[in-house]
Amino acid sequence: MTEEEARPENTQPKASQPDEKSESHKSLTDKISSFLTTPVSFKHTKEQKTMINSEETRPEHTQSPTPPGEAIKQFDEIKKALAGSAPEWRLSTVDPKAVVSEPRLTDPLLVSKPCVDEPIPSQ
Amino acid sequence: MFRRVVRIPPPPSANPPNPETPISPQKAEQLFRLHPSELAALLEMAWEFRVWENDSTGNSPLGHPNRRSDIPQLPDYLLQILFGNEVNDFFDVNKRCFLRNNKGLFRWDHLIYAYLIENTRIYDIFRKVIHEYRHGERLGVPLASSQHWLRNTEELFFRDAAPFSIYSVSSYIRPDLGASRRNAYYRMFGMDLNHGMDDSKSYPYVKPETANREFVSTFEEFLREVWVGIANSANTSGLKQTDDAAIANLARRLHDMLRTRRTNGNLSQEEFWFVAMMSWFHLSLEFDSPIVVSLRAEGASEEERLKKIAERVKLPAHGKSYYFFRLADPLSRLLTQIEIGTYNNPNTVRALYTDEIPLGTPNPVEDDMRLIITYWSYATDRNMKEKTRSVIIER
Repeated sequence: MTEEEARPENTQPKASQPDEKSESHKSLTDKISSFLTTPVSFKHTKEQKTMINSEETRPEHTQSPTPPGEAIKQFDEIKKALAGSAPEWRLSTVDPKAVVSEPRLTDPLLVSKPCVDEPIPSQ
Repeated sequence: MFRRVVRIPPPPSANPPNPETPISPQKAEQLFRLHPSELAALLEMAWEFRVWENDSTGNSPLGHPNRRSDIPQLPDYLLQILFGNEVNDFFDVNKRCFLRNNKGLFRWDHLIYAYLIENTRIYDIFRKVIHEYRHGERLGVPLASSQHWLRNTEELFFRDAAPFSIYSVSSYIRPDLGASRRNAYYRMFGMDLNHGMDDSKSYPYVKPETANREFVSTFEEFLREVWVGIANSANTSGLKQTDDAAIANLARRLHDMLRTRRTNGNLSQEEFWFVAMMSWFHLSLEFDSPIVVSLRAEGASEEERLKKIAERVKLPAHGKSYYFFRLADPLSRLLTQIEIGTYNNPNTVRALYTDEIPLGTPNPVEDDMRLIITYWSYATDRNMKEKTRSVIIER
């Protein structure tokens, strides 16, 4: 096959006659207008749907606005949760050896008797 | 995290009850005396019982304040074996406390809490305290109860974490916890700590390209607009300069910035651990704890005690520690709610500046906003109560 014969345009069918051309042109036009007017539905795999839901959708933007009173109530709940005073933690039983009596820092210092040289008893 | 474990429950008759009740010194001392493995168990249980909800549309966005991360904690059966038996109901009782209708209730502070507390230099100061106590007696001999605090602090915060624990965020890849914290702060807020290493050299850490560098400017603009709202909320005549749309727009920008850094639960585990770490040190200063008494650093407030300890170890605390301590809790609450997206709509932002909604009821959000605006102004030396003016140059 020569280079000229191998070119793609050489393998195309010959151009149709004028009558056939208008028919095919009309058919193509119909197809295009049909494509433009018919709604296209995209099919997603389950994985893609999950990805779209969790990563691309912004639920905050689709939610209705929170009334100011509800915003304050929500803030109060956050404050309670962060302060943590509502539920009381139970700490485990402490090892009794760990409880020692604390020496008070204000305890007076024990002052020892001054060292006095005692005379050597005479014999 | 640790501070909430030792609060005195509010009296049932209080209406509305203030959840920020004082610390119980007895319970705090009991906490300091626990075995380090029991403190680790508390952390695992706090992670297990974290708030975990789907939003109203049924989606489950990881990183949302109600669904921070799906990384699992130590398995239940292991926690039961280690910490639960017929004699000691530690695990079962606390599990019942923190589950309601099979929903977790535990919420930890925002990363901004860890940033503000660490910015006081509390971590470095206590590291030097432990260094002095472990190497000599320059600071005297610690009290017997302080020995427990010293042991637990060194075990939990100054050594490699127990493997497979939820607070194990260091590895060969991230060997320096200080660098990891600075990296997290920079990514989330575009801010670095105000101090470097002990010898005043800058602290080396990985500074990523992707960071919320516009966080501070956007947040300050947000504070200014909210202040305009507060100042005008009582106006009944004349022009009202409050711009709800501007406040909502700024809140949405902050929401987007913070939530983008948290996509798929990013930074949640690090935040949990860093916040817990700083809350331990914060708790140690909230009252005259055994370590404070050992150091002869009794005082009326956290910053006074910290200042005295800093003088003893010759490492100065930040001069504005007072404001950082006051800002930590309110800012943590505000940013948590901003991340939920509550203020992204102009119809909701009125909650930020109206002092009574509904009429006759105090507004805790507005109270917190006033505190934040005032203390942020003092901490940064930039007045949030003054609107920035554009300068027109005439030629």
